This record gives sequence, structure tokens and C-alpha cells, in this order.
Amino acid sequence: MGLWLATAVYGLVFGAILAIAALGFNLQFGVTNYANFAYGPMLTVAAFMAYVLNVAPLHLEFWLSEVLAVIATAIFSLLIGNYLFTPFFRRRPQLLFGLTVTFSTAIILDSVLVGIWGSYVREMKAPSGALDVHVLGALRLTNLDISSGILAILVFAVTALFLGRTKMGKSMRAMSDNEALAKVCGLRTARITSITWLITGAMAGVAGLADQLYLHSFDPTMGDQLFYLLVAAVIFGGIGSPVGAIVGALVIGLVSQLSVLVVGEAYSTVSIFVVLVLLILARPNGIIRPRTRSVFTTA
Amino acid sequence: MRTRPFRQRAIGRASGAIAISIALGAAAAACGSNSGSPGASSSGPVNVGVIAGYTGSYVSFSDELLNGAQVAASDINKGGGILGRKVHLIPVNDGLDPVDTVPAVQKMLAVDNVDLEAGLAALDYTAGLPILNKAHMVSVSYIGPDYGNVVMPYHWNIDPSDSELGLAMAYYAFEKGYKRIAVVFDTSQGAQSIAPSVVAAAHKLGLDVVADPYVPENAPAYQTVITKVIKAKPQAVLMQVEPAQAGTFFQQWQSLGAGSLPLIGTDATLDQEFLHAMGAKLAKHLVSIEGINRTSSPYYNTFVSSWGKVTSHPFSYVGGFLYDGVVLAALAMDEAKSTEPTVYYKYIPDITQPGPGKITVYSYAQGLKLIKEGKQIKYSGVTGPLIFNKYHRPTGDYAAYTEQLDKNPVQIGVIPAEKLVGL
Repeated sequence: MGLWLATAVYGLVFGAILAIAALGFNLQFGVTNYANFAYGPMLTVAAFMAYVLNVAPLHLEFWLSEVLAVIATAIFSLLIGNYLFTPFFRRRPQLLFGLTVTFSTAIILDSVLVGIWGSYVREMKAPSGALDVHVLGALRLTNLDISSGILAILVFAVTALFLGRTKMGKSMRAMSDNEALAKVCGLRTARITSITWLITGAMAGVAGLADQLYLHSFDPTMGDQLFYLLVAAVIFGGIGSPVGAIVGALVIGLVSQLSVLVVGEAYSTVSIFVVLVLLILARPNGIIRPRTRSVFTTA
Repeated sequence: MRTRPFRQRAIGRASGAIAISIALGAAAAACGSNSGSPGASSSGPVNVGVIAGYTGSYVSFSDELLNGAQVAASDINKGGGILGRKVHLIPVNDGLDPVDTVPAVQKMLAVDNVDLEAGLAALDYTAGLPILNKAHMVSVSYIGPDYGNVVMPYHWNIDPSDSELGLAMAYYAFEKGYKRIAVVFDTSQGAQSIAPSVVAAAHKLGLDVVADPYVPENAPAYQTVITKVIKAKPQAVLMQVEPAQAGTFFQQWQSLGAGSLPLIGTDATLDQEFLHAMGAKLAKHLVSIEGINRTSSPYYNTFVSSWGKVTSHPFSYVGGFLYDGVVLAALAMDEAKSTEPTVYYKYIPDITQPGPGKITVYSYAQGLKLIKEGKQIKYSGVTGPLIFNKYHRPTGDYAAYTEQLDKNPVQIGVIPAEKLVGL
């Protein structure tokens, strides 16, 4: 029993990091209505920004590097969103074209990262004490694991407050529900979209840095590896539903670890997608029924 | 300090492509040149095609291969060239993609007038080798996986086979007195070409394999796999994990309390990229097994120093394989007094196999001098003695090494080849 409990907690720790990324991706999707395949590489961009700032060549203080990397990723997201995706979507609003441009951007970003930094694995050292271990029976958690969980809860809380209590958050939700109606009501949708790129870029930054520290080392494929799981989490939880993204990510974290005990490590990743397919059969709109105008849903 | 990318890194991502490439390679070989004499001119430079992926994801690895060939060319040219002709390297880019290998090799054979091919690695060899052999072009390569009991008369692989390495790892564990071992390999094709031979040899040696989990590539976390290994209470862990996974895996390995378990790694664990990902603390518990080489060659340090003069890229041991390939082909040409592949290929065994009266040489200059004096030589490379079996793969003793971050490995033991017979 101890092993199962410990395994579940390990799964939740990973799920929490995944949830930050999934939440950002889902929020971006909810407002812009385009699945952004470049979101995975954005996580890697954040990791390399932090690496440049903290490790080489700049050697800035760790926390300053982390904050600057998040800001830089947010600005990068804004630039890509405003000057590449939005003009393209305006001209070619069809789903397939949207997928094409974001997918192409993902490949370009991946190639640029490899071109600049090579395909080698790089280390990003966590601050001192981060890897100190707390032992609770069969469970062994590092400070980093615990911090990842706390960080995720903070991000969820801030996002919930932002979406529920601020004017901009409410505007984003309105736009997510019905963009045409939001426009008629006088909401400045272009501005809302820009802020969405900025905020979700920052969330990609936070998730990328959390994943980078969790992984201990990283390479240019880091974000891509997380991306397919976060997409699964979003579909699992319900496309367009922030709560669904969080729940979906936590479930995927749990399945990824517990499945090792049930079906063995060789099938642990496969089992995530088996569960996903079964869930889609049972609940096509995911665990949490979304209220979005998503082109993917039938709601 | 060495930086050696895993030869296995690329393999797992391309197993599907390999199947296609075998068919493509075979088909292309069937349609390819049958002139029997691709290396044409007897004047001008000796052209050496270096097939690798100079664009795409494997640029760093491919540059290391090319750099090794460049150091060889520099050494040969300094010694007056081959039969008075300078060596000229021609990089041939196939992106290490087997689909692109076929046209790249065919173009090289048709246009570049090469006398030797140096290159091809774990990803593109299935497409390239059949064409080269059909064209009677001598090739020297760095290929880890076993490619079956196929004799390719024009091809020499400078790297020992993965499965033999597995036997040496199991024997080392046995010799150290371990009774209960865990076998922990990632799921890449390269790693999986070693793991079965480790398990089989362990059983023959009477070792108890208490756990042999896969380490799935791209898995989000490994705590459960590691916990299973720890619960099985092994005395030592025989392993290989890709550098991309190693950081996560070993950080979790340590936090779960497995940090003091002795680790016996493959040759790939000597890679500095891997060691950095693993961390200095755990590297102290690691012993890596590799074909006896590097420290055994008196020319090794000169090779390292020549590297720095020829290229600004960081030194990489992987370049040594193509270095040796080019040098031994050059010496065979000198011995044969011909750069014609259909002539000099027969002389490669003459300069690599030991024999009575043969003088062991460690550099091109040494070898050339003795050949000119009419003496018989045995070339021993910077990557090892280069004693080939009938499949043209080097065999011989293995050694155990320890290695610290950013330092050269230290040999701590030898596993004689005869101990592996019958395993």
C-alpha cells in the first residue's frame, strides 16, 4: 500500500507541472480558438532563456534568471501571437491553416534551438537545498517536488482570481464564450487577444522552468515531450475548460506512474493514451464539460 | 575531457526508417554501379568521402566524425600523403537519414571520384553499406548495433559489437563477486541490442537478475521504475540510460535512496554528456566497460593534441573511430601501392591482424616508414588494437574504467577476451 501511495504522489507532482502548462495552453486555445502546436517549443525557449541567463554566458543570480526568463518568454509569445499567428488567422481562419502555421512554427523553433545550442543535453542546477529529501514511509520527496506542487497551486489560484475577479479576466472568458458577441458588447478583442498571448506565454515560461528543474537536465526536445502529454491532459479534462486542464493533467500524472505498477514500465506511456481513448469514447467532451465555442467540441 | 554522443541516441527514433532503408539500400545496390572500380584516378588527391549528417539533429555528432577524419588526413598529409598524393576529404551530407543516404551515396560514387568512404553510423548504415559493397568501395564506419553475421568484404567497422560489450559487462559483475544484479537499460534500439546479451551472460555465469526493467524513452518520470529496482535489492546495477533521460533518472535515483548502489555501465556511459547529466556524486559509483583501447595506445595523447590543431571543436573520442579507419585504409593503400579499392582492400587484414615478425605501429608516420623499409606492420589504433573478426568487427579484451567529470577515464581492470568465449 505504501508503494501505491508513494507512486500516486510522484504522479501528482509531475501532474502539477503538467497542469501549469496545460492550463496555459487551454487558456490560449479558449480565447484565440487555435490549437497552438508551438506551445511545446515555447516551454523549451523558456528553459534556454534561463540557461543563458543563469549558466552561460550571463551567470545572473538564479531567481533573477528565472523571473527574466518568464518575462522574456511572455514577450516572445506576444510577438509570435501578434505578428505571426493573428495576422495569419485573420486571413485564413480555417482550422487546417491554423494548425499548419502553428505546427510549422513549432518545427522552426525546434530547428532554431538545435541550430543555436546543438542537440546536447544541458544541466540546469536547482538552488541549494532543492534536492534535500523528506522521507515519509515509502515516500521520498525532495524540496523541489514539494515546491513544484506549491507553485502549481499558486498558478491555479492566481489564474482563478484573474479570470473570476478582474475585468480583463472576465473579458477573456466572454471572448472565449462568444467572440462575436464580445465585440458587439464593445470589448476590445484585439487587445484581449494580445494580453492572452502575454499571459499564456508567461505560463509557458513558468511551466518550462518548472519542468526544466524537475528534469534536472534538458535538451531542445524538452517542450515537445511535454506537449503531447499536455494536449492529452487538455482533451482528457475538456477542451476550453481551465479546471478540466488541471484535472486532466493530474490524472495523466497519476496514470503515467501507477500504470508502471499495473502494466509495467514498457506500457506506461501507452496506457495514458489507452485511458484517453476510453474516456473520449465514454465522454467525448472530456471530464469537465466545457462552455467554449471550440471547433473541436460538439457542445 | 571527452564528449561522446551516444551512438544509440539516433537509433531508437528511426527504427521504422531503417526497415525502409534496408529495402531502399538493397534496391539501390541492385541498380547501382557494377563497374567494380569506382575509385578512378591515379593522380591528384586521394579522395575520401565522409558520409554523415551535416544538417539536422545530428550535426554535432557528425562534426565529431568528420573531425576525426580531418586529423587523420592532416597526419597522412604531413607524412607526405599516400603514395605521394594528398588526402582530400569530401563531406557527404545524408542528414543521417537513411532515406537521404541512398542518393547521397550514389552521387558520391558517381561524381566525387572517391577512393575510400569513411562514415555511416547507426542510423544510415543499412541504406549505405549495401550500395558501397556492391560498388566495391572500401568503407570504414562507426556502427554499434549488430548487423547480423554478414560478411561485407569491402567494409570494416571500427567499433566492437554491442552484444559482445554486454558479455563483458556481465563478466565484470561476476568477477567483482556480485550475485544479485539489476539490468536497467533504456528502450532505444541501441541499448536494447546490449541488454539481452547482459541477461543471457548473467544467467550463464550464475548471477541472479533480480530486476530488468526498461527505462522508457521520453517517460515523464521514473520513480516507480527506480522503486521497483530498489525493492529487488540488487548488489549492482548494469545499465545504460540516454543522456537526455539521465539527468531526470539519476536525480530521482538519488532522491529515492539508490545513490550508493554500484553501477556498471556500457561504453556510452563514459560520455561526458552522460556524466554531466548523471552528476559527479553518482559518477563515483560508476564503472564503465569498453573495449580496451585509448590508454593502451602510446599515440593517444598525440591524437588528442592534433585534434586541437586541426579543429576548434571540443575533442571527442568518437572522432577516433574515423581517424583509425582512414589511417588503416591509407596504410593498406601504401602496402598495396595502389589507391584502387579493389586492390588495396585485400591489404587491410595484412596491416591489422597480428602475426610473427610484424611490428606494431601506432601512427601513420611509423607505419609508412616501416612499409617503405619493406617490413610487415600491425596497425594498432587510438581506439584499440583493431583485431578484426571474420565479420570485420574488432574483437579483443575489454577494460573497466572510472571517469570523473571533465577528466579522461582511468583504467581499473581488464576483461580478457578469452573469458567471454562461451558466454
